[in-house]
Amino acid sequence: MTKNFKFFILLVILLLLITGCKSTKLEAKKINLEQYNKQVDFLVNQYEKNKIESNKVESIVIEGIFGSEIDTYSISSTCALEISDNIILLKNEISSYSTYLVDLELNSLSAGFAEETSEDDFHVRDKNVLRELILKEIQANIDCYYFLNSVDGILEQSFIIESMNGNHILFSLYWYDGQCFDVSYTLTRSVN
Amino acid sequence: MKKHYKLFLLLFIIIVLLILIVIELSSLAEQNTLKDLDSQYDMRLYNYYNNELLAKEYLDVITINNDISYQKIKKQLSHKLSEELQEEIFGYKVYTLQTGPNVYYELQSIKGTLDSGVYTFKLEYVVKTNGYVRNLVTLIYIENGIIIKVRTL
Repeated sequence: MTKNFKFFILLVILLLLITGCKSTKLEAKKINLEQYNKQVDFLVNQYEKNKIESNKVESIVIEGIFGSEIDTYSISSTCALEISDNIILLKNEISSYSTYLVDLELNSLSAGFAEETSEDDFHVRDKNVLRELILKEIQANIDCYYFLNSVDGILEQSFIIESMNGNHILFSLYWYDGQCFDVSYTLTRSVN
Repeated sequence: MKKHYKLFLLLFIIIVLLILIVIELSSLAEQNTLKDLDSQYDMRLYNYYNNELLAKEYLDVITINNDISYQKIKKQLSHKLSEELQEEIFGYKVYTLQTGPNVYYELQSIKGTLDSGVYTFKLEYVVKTNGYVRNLVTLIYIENGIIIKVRTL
């Protein structure tokens, strides 16, 4: 009788333990849910906040590259100077690229048109017009993306600009809590 | 004594049965609670996370170096690409190039954005093969769960 009694007591304890384990599963799920929702809320809020601030800088960067001055004072960031320096680098790179394209275009045209017009007038007139057109095309082809890093919530504002030989310039500003805290400038080498 | 023993046994069986019923009921209640919890997940980034996984999956294309890998990755990825990309990457029945060395990649970062219904993911990764190492940046465009464009910068 004692043996049977002990067996049944053990059975009861086992059944109660099973009930306990199931409650642990529920608790774990609740914790997981809370953490997941908190992370999503954080990422969405960060993205919206950083997008608003970085949007203001997009036109300043484009104007700075293709215009006559860089409006650093409108950039309220500790990286304002660094942004400005990188915009100058971009200006120089695009200037070289546009000169290369202009020369390429003129070389292909000059064979057919050199005899019809004065050589000097043709080159000065067309070169300026060509350069303007090419710069407009480069500007129109600039892509600006607002990428979210789903791990840390940092927004990467990326300007992707075509460069020579099929390469690209990646100019990125990194935003967190509405502030730009870092800048990067990379030249990619085409795989083709 | 024998009567008492039988009584105790009966009582015990009743207790065990009651516990089993309680466990079953609590299990049912728990299932309902778990279902309720599932519906409480914040779904705002649900599509973003799914598309991020798809973008990462695309990188397996880099590892194709023979017919076995070609067929395997074609099977897992082809239906997730637009028709144009399917034709471009998996347009042949068999792998038409020479078998090459193994190719590995290491994803360094992935970031994404949504604009006009299209997810764009920027993947930065390192490709290694036969002593050759190259850092690459690729943009992957996904619409309605299908990769529509891939652009390596």
